[in-house]
Amino acid sequence: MRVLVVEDERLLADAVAEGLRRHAMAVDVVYDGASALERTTVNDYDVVVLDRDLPRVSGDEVCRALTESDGAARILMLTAATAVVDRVAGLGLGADDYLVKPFAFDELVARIQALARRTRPAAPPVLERSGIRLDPHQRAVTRDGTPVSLSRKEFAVLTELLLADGGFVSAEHLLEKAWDEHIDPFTGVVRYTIMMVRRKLGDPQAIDTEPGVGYRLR
Amino acid sequence: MSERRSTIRLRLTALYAAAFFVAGAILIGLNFVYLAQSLPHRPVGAQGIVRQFLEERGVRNRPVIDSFLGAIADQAELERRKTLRGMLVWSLVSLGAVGVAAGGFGWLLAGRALAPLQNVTATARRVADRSLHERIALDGPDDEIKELADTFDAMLERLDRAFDGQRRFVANASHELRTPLAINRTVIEVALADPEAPASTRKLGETLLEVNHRNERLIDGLLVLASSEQLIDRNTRVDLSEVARRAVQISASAAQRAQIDLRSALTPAYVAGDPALLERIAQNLVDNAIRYNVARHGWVFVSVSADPRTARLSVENTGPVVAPYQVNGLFEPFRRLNSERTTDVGTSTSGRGAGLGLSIVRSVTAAHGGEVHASPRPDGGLLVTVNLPACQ
Repeated sequence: MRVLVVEDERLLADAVAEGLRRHAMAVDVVYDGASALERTTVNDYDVVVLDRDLPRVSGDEVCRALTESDGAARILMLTAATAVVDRVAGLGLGADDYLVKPFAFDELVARIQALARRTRPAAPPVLERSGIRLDPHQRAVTRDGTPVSLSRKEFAVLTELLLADGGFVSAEHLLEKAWDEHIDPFTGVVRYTIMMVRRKLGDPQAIDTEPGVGYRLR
Repeated sequence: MSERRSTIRLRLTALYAAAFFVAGAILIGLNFVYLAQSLPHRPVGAQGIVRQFLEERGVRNRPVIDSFLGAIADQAELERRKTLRGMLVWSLVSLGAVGVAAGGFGWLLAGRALAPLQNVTATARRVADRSLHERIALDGPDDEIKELADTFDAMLERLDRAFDGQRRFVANASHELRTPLAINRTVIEVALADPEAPASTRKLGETLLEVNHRNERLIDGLLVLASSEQLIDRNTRVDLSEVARRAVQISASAAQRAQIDLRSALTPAYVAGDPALLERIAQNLVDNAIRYNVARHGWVFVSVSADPRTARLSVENTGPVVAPYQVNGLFEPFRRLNSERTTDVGTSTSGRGAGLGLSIVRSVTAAHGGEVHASPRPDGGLLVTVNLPACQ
């Protein structure tokens, strides 16, 4: 899952990013509205965590732009404006969810995961295929009942494979969804991670490789 | 209000009628004096004509002539007196009749003159009850009443701007105060979520979170207090018994932890106001009642009742003895009852309130046009009653 955090308070933005990365999300951070708009045109995010009060371009403007561009990204608005009129206005601008500061971090994580499920078609809370069960909320994977311990990147890659539900997932797509922008595009990290996932999942082999196309779960 | 208007109208009319009567009386008096002056006691002219007439006929100085002249003089005197008296009586009666008619007209005219004043008052009352954005904007002749209306409008303008400024300040303050708290909370929560965090860090983090939470509640309370002192924005029909029921439900677990018996007797009671603020004061009262209670066998009794004009919410609780002179002080912001025997619900720092609960109750109640009373119970504890104007 790839998330964009847009927040002008650097301490807060960085803390949120770190917390989300521990939940196996790939997180990009920007500190103003203009950068947010720029970043969303380049990358494909599942969820955008958007503060309303931003320099250069306001959060409301960003929200409007994102909804009009008809992107797939879900928007979670984060703000200190707590009055009902503000919340209603925010949701009316096209935000998919609205969280008031100060918030409980666990709640932020839960809401982001809930929003990410609402892709087209909507994904179930627990992903399952061929005996492999993945719970994003608990950050746990089991195969036929036995727990499997995966690193964050491995977890993210497996999530994408399960979301594809047997369809092929290209290496580019995996890079897009499971890694943030601080990655060298010519790296062999995807191949390496797939190999680690295969090894940890054990026999029988669950992941097929089709050269030039991508990877898929059987 | 109509009695007051009739009093001024009555006074104006009475004044006008009195002035009319006085002027009329003076006029009659002057006329009377002039008439009295000009009508002679002895008709010298008439007597002179008779004497001359008789002298031309050679009759002179006979006693019958003198008695003849005397009779003429007496008759003239009689007629003079009759004329003066008749004039006086007729004038006074006419003055009375015309005076009454003038009074009647005066009454009507006074009413017409005062009508714009009533208009001004009605608008002012409407504005005072609802919003400060309305203006009287009286059009009409540029007279004292228009000046009054314009001055009133100017005052409304200043009030409107002041309240607007305050509202914007509250909104800005809300944002500014909440942001550092949010940063604290998230940074600490994320640090605590790290599975590799050492126990000392974890303990520090938990303490900091508690203190932060206390600040959050304090700022929240302050902002509610500040915003509730303005006019109520929302005017919906709220059932106080539902509000109280929710407050009781929310506090049920806290009451249980403190081993306090939380009872209620709620009958429907409708008021017009802001539901969120009303819930807030119900919650504050119940929380206070639970917090400032005895260590064992304490109870809290919440009741809601209504008569045609007033809706009443009262919260009664056992607790430490409160002296009568301390009661009013409890409603001051940041004032708490100082007593070692208060039970602490929950942990040490989260158990203590911000000290704003009752001041918020008073402020919100006042903004709703009601009043709140607190009276100490003889064997300790408090009975707090909130009276609000009922609405159908």
